[in-house]
Amino acid sequence: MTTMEETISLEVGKILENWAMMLIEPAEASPTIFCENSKLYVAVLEFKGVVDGECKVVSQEAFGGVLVNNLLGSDDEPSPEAVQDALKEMVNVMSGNLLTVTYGVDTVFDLTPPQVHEATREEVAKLFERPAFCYIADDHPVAVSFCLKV
Amino acid sequence: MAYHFLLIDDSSIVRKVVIKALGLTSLDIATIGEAANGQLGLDYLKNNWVDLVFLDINMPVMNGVEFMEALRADDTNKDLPVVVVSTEGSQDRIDRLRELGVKAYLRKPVTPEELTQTVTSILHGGKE
Repeated sequence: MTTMEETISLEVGKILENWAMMLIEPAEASPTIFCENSKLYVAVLEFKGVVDGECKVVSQEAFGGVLVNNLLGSDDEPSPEAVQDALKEMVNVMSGNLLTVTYGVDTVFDLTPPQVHEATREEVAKLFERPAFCYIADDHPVAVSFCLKV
Repeated sequence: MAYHFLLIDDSSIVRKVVIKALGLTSLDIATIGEAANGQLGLDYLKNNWVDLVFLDINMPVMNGVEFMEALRADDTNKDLPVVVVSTEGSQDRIDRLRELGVKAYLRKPVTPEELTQTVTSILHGGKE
């Protein structure tokens, strides 16, 4: 892992622990961390500035449910809309913080509003062709990809 | 005195978290309005009294910087206190928002304690 990748991995872990309030452990960077029969979501945000790129967060539906409940301090079953909204906010928080730790506070980036969609296994497998930062967070796998466009 | 707040953020989760955090303060809260982007925030301000605005930057339709520019161009609301709550880390953009009169800048993730301290400081001069 390069120094930059280590920095990103640490920041991803910090956000999962401090913002999402989850217990985490590092996981293998492989699509096999996700259960075969679970619904997968990809939250995406694109950025433009001194470099252009995108940040993606891949998770199972259950991860989104835990995230909503942690953020709201609730035990209720969250709606699919709340799950998707929480995943969008997660990629928003990830992107803003990862851009700052990698490019500093003197660099301006324009971010697109985050989007979320249900992902196919093929799409998720493709994401792992680039470096992905993976954790088991509150027993649920999550992968973060932070890629520059070339 | 009961305070009127407006939350402008495209994330309903963030709005709920901020509402919950405000509920944990000892502030007397009259109303908390919600808007999903800057334009809806301006629309809300046309018809409602607000004491303090919480503002995100990265939003569809009208972002936080555009909202601030429109707000300061309007004599009615040019002195309305605004607290930015955003993932934005660029110093240039934060400086621009301060030029536009933003009272405080909170970087996401924000803790309820930071939120409470900031709001109390602006509305009560630091005394809760």
